[in-house]
Amino acid sequence: MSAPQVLSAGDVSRLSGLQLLVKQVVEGFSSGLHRSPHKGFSVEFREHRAYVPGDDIRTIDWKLFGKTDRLYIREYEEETNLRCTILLDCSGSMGYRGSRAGGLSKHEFAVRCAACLAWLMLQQQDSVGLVTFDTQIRRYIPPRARPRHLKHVLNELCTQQPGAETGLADVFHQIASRIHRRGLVLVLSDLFGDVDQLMKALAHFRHARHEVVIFQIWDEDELDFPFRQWTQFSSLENSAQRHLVDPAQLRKAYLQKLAEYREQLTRGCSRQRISLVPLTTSQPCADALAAWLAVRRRAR
Amino acid sequence: MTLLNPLLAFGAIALLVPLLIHIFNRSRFRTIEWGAMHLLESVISQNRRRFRIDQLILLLIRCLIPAVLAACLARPVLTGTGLLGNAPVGLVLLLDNSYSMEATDPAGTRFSAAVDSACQLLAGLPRGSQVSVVLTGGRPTLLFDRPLTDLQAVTRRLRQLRPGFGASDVAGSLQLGMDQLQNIPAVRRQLLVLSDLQAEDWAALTKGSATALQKQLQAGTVPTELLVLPVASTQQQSADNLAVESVELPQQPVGVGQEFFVRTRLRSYAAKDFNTTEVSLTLDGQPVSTVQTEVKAGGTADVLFRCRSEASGSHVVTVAVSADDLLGTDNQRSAALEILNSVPVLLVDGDPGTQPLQGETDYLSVALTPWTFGRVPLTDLLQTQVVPAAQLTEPLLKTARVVVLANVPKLSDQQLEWLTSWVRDGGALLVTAGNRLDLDWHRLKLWNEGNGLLPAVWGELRGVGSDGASAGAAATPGSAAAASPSARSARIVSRRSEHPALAFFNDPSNGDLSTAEIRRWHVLTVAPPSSTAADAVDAAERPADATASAGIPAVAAVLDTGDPLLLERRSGDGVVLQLATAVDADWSDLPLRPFYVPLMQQLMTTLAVQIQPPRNLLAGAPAVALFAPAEEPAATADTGPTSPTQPLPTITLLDPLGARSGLSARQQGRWLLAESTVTQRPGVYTMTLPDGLPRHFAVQTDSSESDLRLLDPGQQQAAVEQLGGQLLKSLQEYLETDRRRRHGQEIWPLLLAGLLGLLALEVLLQQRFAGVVR
Repeated sequence: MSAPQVLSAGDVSRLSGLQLLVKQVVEGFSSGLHRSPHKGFSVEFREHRAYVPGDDIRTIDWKLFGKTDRLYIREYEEETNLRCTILLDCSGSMGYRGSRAGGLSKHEFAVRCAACLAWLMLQQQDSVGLVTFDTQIRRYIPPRARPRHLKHVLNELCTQQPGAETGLADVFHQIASRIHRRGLVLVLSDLFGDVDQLMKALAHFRHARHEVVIFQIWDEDELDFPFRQWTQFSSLENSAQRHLVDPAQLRKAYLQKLAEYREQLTRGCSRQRISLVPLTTSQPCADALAAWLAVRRRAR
Repeated sequence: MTLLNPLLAFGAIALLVPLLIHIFNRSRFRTIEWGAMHLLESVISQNRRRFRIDQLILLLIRCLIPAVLAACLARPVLTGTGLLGNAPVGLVLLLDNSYSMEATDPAGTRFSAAVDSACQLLAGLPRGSQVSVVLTGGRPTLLFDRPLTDLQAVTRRLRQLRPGFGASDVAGSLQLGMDQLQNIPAVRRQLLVLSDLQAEDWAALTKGSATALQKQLQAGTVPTELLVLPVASTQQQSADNLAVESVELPQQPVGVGQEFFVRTRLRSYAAKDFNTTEVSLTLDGQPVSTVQTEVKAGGTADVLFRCRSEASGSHVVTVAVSADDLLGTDNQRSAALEILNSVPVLLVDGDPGTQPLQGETDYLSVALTPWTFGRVPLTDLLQTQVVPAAQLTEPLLKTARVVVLANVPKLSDQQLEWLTSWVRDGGALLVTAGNRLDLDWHRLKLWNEGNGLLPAVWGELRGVGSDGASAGAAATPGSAAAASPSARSARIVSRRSEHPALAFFNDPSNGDLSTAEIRRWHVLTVAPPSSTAADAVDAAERPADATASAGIPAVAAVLDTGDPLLLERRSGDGVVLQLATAVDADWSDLPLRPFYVPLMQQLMTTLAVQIQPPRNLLAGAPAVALFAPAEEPAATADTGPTSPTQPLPTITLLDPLGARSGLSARQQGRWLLAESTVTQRPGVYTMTLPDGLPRHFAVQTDSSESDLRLLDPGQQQAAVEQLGGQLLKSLQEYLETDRRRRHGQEIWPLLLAGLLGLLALEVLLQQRFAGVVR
């Protein structure tokens, strides 16, 4: 997959003008769109405080001095840029390519979403990083806000292919320990695995006060299990794992199991105040992200 | 289990198709590289066993569908063991043709319902079945001489039958039916009773006879089924019926212009009263009298009609009652009556007198023709002719119906031969005692050791003056007591008599015979006749029944001394009476008694008609008519009654239904005899003789058949069960059961329903297993 395929002009135009704002304060290096926990001298006034020796005299509000004959210092709220880390699942299960996805596999869809998100962050002067992983961290690109950083990200995205088994919980623990400053963590994964272990790993992020948004990538086939004739299901992560079954018989139980799984996941994310955004590969990723951003803006 | 389309059963191989499809599908699966394997695997591991069972169930149903379809198309027939198929059946129909079957139910008469049922049953019998029909009314009778295989002929014959016979003999009919079944070689035998199950008929079937019949039914090597089909509706239990129970005619002969009484009895079998019921009497179809009477519920009413006829010959008296009841057949009853023009009596006087009332037969002649003697303008029934013994000739004998030998000493051998022949050909002879009898001749010729005409030999002379030297000297009345003080006179014992002539005096108002004094009489010793060579020859020449009829003399009247007064014995076709005393006043005061006239009249008329066969018969009894040949033999040398070469005439018989049939007459001594034994049906039979005169016979039957009460359903069941039979509720039900038993039951509708059920179940289970429906 080449860079233009990963981030198409259409996606760019669809996302231009949109901003991804975090819901909580994040720590950044430069002023930006996002509120910073550090008070400074920015454009947005916050409060007056009494002058103490050592303060920069440039911050004295002379007008207030003329009125009150006391020295006060104007304090402004500091705006900072966002440190966003995109976690891209490259496990084998992401390689599923459904018939209704327009030829896209879940992995390719996730890559496109990641590219869009990276571009979006860099566009708004935020720094963005990328972590690709399967059972282990494949590649870690620290967050950068330079426009050229997009090229590194896209190049990395282009080179990734799904393959190995999934081990989300361990990988998330590893990643959480490597991201020190509070920021935004965007997870692009199908989250197939043990939910309890997964929630514990996500809790690690939350403990580090990261805002976590999980884009759960689904294929339509996984949601409605439309198969009819006898089928041998072969695991994308373990080729030795295969079952010859009549899908019609399975469907009911499968859908029930799926509903339980999603319910468990939703409940866990809600408890951790993690945004869980289900995306299906049948819809354009830019549209899906735009819709999500619009919703998020209204919620803010 | 048999198949009507066995080739289509091979379609059951199609059950392999779903199996092959299943195997084919499993071998031609598609492979999908699946991501959400952790979901799928847990589902598979948790439900693997259930999925396998579901698959097996679905596979089984899918395999069953073509198999059941093939079975359905093959039209299987469910059969049991011992299936007979179209094997011929031996069937004996016991058809109740008693006159109660003419009772009308809403759907028609019971008999028509029975015949319809029988025809329906016959139509369903397999080819080659043999059928016999027993008509149970009156005496059980076979409709056919042997069982028939032509069922259409049986049906046609059944359609022609008419009921109207007497009460059914259930036990006799069943016995006859079982005997018939023994002659039918069939693997299955049936005895079907078609009857109204009248309570009166079936009550006669005792438990003992029922048990015996049941054992007989079960004893045969071939199983015999007894089926009973009631043809009368038990719902309609109204048995309102009024019947003419009896018609009684006078026992003594009736002459032309004589008035006689007809006594009839009406019986009600209803729960209601019959008020102002009209009862009418007709004589030969002409109305005579009509009266109105009332018959209480369950009661009887007697009606007495007065009647007379101005024409001699055979007549029919019919009593009819007009009543709105269930059964019209028994609303009338007929009786046959012979009106006599005159009875010629030949009095052979053995002691003629010169003075009035001095002759031996003078008193008798007066007693037999009282109107003529008294110059009363009335006609005497009896016409007498007195001749001396020497003038007795054969032509004279042929003109007489009764001959009296009064104190005749002896006859010539020729006269004796004529007389013997005349008596044995049906003549009636009265021999009376007297003082002029030649006892030796009487003993040797007339008695002839019991083989002659005389019933008993004249024995010892008893009574007043019997021990005197000359009985003739003491013959004068009033002098007998002086002849022998030890001897005494005798009197007739007064007792109820069964003799037709003396039964008239059973009523004391008609006279008391015991008042007569018998002063002198011969002891008549009754002894059986000894067989002699001459008699054996004679018997061989005569018909067998004539020989048999010559029996032991019967005592009609007896004296208080124990000695018989009047003996009677049949001799050939004739009858001979022997009176132990004289008919004049010499030996008794009988002629001086008021009852002398009726006594002699009764004796003569009874003798005159006794040789005629009865006209009122019970059903089944032969109707016999005796008549004289059309032409008398011309040659004087031919002493026989008719020439052997003379053709015998044919007699026409008209039965109660109006059907005519021919009867062949046969020679019976000097008479010609016509006989019909087909008199099972009650009613009036008429024989038309060559002289053109009719002879009517009234055949009667037991009136108990008029009681139309039926067995109730519980009694029906019990009665049939004690015979070991099966009570059929309806013929249609039986035919359906029999068809199943014979051919089995087609079960393709059940299979088709099962097939549709399987299809629906397959769709339902498939949807349910796939989670489309919950």
